[in-house]
Amino acid sequence: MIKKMEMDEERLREVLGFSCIGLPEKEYAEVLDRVNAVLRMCDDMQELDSSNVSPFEWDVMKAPARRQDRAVVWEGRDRFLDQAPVRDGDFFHVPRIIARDDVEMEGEE
Amino acid sequence: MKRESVIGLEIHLQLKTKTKLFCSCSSDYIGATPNTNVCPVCLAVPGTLPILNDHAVELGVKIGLGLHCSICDNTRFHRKHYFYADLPKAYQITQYEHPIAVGGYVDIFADGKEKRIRIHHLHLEEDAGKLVHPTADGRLTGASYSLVDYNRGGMPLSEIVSEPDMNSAEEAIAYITQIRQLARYLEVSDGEMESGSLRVDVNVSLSNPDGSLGTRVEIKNVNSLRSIERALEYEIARQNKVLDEGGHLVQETRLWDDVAGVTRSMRSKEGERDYRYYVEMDLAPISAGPEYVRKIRESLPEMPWEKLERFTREYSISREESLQLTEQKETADYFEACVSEGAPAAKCANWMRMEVQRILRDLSIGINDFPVPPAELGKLIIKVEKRELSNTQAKDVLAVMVEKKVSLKEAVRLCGISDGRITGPALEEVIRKIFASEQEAVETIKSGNDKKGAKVKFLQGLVMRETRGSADPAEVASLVNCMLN
Repeated sequence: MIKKMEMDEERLREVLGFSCIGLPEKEYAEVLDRVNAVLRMCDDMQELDSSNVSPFEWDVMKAPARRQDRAVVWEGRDRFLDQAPVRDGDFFHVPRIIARDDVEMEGEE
Repeated sequence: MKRESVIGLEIHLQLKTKTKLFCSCSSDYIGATPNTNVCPVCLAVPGTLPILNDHAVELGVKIGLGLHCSICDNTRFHRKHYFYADLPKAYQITQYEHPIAVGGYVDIFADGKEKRIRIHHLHLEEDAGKLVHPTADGRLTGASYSLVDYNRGGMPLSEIVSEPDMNSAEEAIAYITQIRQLARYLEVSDGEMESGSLRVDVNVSLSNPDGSLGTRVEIKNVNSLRSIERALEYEIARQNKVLDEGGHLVQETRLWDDVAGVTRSMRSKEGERDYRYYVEMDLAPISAGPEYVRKIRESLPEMPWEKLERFTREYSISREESLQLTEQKETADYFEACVSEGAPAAKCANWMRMEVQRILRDLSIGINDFPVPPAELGKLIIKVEKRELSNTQAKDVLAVMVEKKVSLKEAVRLCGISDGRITGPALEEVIRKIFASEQEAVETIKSGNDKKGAKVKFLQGLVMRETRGSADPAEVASLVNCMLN
């Protein structure tokens, strides 16, 4: 019997801290519900009988283990930068990064 | 109460490969336009697969051997999970349970004595990208957004983890200097703290009265040897103060604030279990068998400590001189090339340590940029030995060789030295100097009061003395007379 997965609010705060994500106090309950819904879906999938299904995997032992130290220029960087949520010239622009101290400060208040 | 400080270091060396650890992007990222040395692998596009850089493994084994470690035949990579914008996969590929090298040592000289520092292990891992925070001081605090450059992401690093065998800031600095020297000798890394190719995390605690280790604090953000020294001194004093006042220390990571000169708590509670390490199933285990290791061992150059011993023995120079000459491999190579011209080793050592070092210091350049080839310096020293040039003349010639980037022969000509003699404009310059310092004699002659020519002879004598006899007396007499009239 596989142990069912569930997250409580304390664990959620801990995970958000590791992820440097700040969350308004009023949204904790809603996010906790959504995370636990995802975990329940994972539990449901674990119950599927896949014993007769051949594994979907990359046979790492057949792949080239190492490569030569030879540089290759990849031309697609602009395509990727353009697809970023926000491009700032040559940079990827990311929203404010919450320092761990900030997260803990919010939790303490 | 007397407590001993206990220090362990984690040194990250950026390996000198042409490409990143798991993809073929160029590793030449310093000064490159942001996000140009990137590809789907190091940008973590789903479905891409890492392939290990063979040369990075070789360099890892090299430094492992240099550190007297055992090389592990069967090692592999793990995924270390954490969330940060500089890590697009949200995990770092690193070696965890099976590092490539274990159990070595480094001998250091600090606090007036030799000491052996044990190496716990050396592992390979990939570097993270770089964040740019648009704040006045470039720090995260206060930034409303950040910019990410993944050019550095995926660069190969070797992390060298020491045992907590150091007991002072001086020992820690000596250890880092030794590792840096080794990395440069082996040509596995530039080892430059300024550019970030050598980074250090410091672990420090105070031993308990029963001799057991106290609570360990990790210090990050130490970017120079001076910062490390200051951070250690501050942290050791802080921990002593907390304990003296009856307080308790917390196991934590602290950031060094170089401006304020203090360490500050990061209050991070991330423990090892939170990284959720698991095997990187996209990479096969690395095999580094005895035959592979033997070939690398045979390719190793002479180690710095071996060179030091040989220089002292072979060239009959002092240990202090050998230490200075072998500090950098390039300096040692230059010295040996100079000696191979036939110049006496002791004289070469002296010229290297005094004149060459002074010029390098004045010009703020390294030996690689010194414009005088070693063979030319060797020939110059031989000329001094044969008394074709005085020491003063030789120094002048060397200065011209450096300034005008000309050969020894040309510099000798420009200095007005012909067949070992000072002549022409150079001799006139010497005479002018003598006249300036002996104005009374000059006035006596010019006013016609040197009836017997004694003052003229006196001036000629001074010129001969100044040129250490390397000027032609007839030319001196002629020029002195000419310049007095």
